[in-house]
Amino acid sequence: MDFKQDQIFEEILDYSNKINSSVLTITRCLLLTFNIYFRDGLQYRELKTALNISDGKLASNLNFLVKMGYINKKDIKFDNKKLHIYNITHKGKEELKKILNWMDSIKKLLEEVNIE
Amino acid sequence: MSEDINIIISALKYWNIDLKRPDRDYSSRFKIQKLAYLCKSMGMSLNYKFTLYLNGPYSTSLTQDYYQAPKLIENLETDYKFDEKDLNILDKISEYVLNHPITLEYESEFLEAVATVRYLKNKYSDMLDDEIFAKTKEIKQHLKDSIIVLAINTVKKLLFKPEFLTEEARKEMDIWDKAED
Amino acid sequence: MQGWKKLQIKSREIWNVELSYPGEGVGHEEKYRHPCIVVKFNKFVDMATIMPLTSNVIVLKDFPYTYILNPNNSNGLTKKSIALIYQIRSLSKQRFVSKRGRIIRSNYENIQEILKDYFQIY
Repeated sequence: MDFKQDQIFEEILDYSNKINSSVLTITRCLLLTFNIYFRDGLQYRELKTALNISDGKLASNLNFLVKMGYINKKDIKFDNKKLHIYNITHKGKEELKKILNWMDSIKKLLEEVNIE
Repeated sequence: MSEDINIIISALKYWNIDLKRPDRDYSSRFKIQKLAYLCKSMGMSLNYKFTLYLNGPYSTSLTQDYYQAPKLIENLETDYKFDEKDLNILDKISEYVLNHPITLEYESEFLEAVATVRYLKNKYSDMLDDEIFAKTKEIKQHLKDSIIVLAINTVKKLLFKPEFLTEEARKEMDIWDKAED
Repeated sequence: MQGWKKLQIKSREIWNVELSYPGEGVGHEEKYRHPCIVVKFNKFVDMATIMPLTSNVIVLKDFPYTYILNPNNSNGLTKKSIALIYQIRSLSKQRFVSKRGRIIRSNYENIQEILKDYFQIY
């Protein structure tokens, strides 16, 4: 007998327990994604333009991710200006990986079913 | 680590640019990315692929290369030799971009603006200056208007060819040149 | 042609000017009228420094030291035009025929940036 489907269900539920659900918002997932992609680091103003959200929303989400240890914040001097640069941490990478694995499992499960 | 990083190091050496280790200094990384893009866009044989979003033009494989060899960049260690065509490209970038007086105060911003404008001109070849200005402003809201205008003018200098001076262009200029006063 | 003396010419304005060519007089034919942007009027010598404008945008768009202007209610242009900043020159007030409008401040500031680059004034 094939217990593959059961295995996928178990994977999904297992990942659901491991993921930090507070990270699972569009803004926070995008912040982690961009910070992984742009290994060099990202400026606050670049993130603001890309996400097109208010300063308040961006700042609170960045502060959350910094507090949780998923990204770190550095002060640098750039063209004689003081800027904040954000970089991903190992913990941040691991958290996004969990989310991606979870989504992969959901995709695997729904491949059996026509969701349209 | 790709061979292309040798080309980048050679370019930095040719321009006599002093950079801190890119794995430790954000400004270094930023400059390398933008200058590498300009070199590629002007016709140098580089395999790096670039995106314009957020920090762009930016290449993840270039990032990988300089994180793997930060000391080579700091010490400008390379044995790569440029041909005449590439030297021409380096000289233009030196004259119109690196040695522009604006870089004394706005080096990174100017570099970003020039690289961004160049990217947009590459992607949207039919776009006129006013549309390029608007698009740059939309993607890079932090760039000053004056720097974008300067960047557009600078990219024109980089891309200018004597063939642009057609008969029709000449006629337009002659209207004013040959007028008496 | 003494009417020209009364003309008030100011920076940022767009004027039609009449140009003459060797062997012809001033004010001859309409085809020699061309628009231009006024940079500065020099009251001491009754001359204005101008930058030529042309609607031949496609031919000249790749030349450095040029700037594209879109027609709007303020500038009085009817077509997309390009300012030939590198052809900046001074003309006698006598050449000024009619005012078309005025370019908006932000456009003029951008043109000034290109002028600064042209003259390397930093």
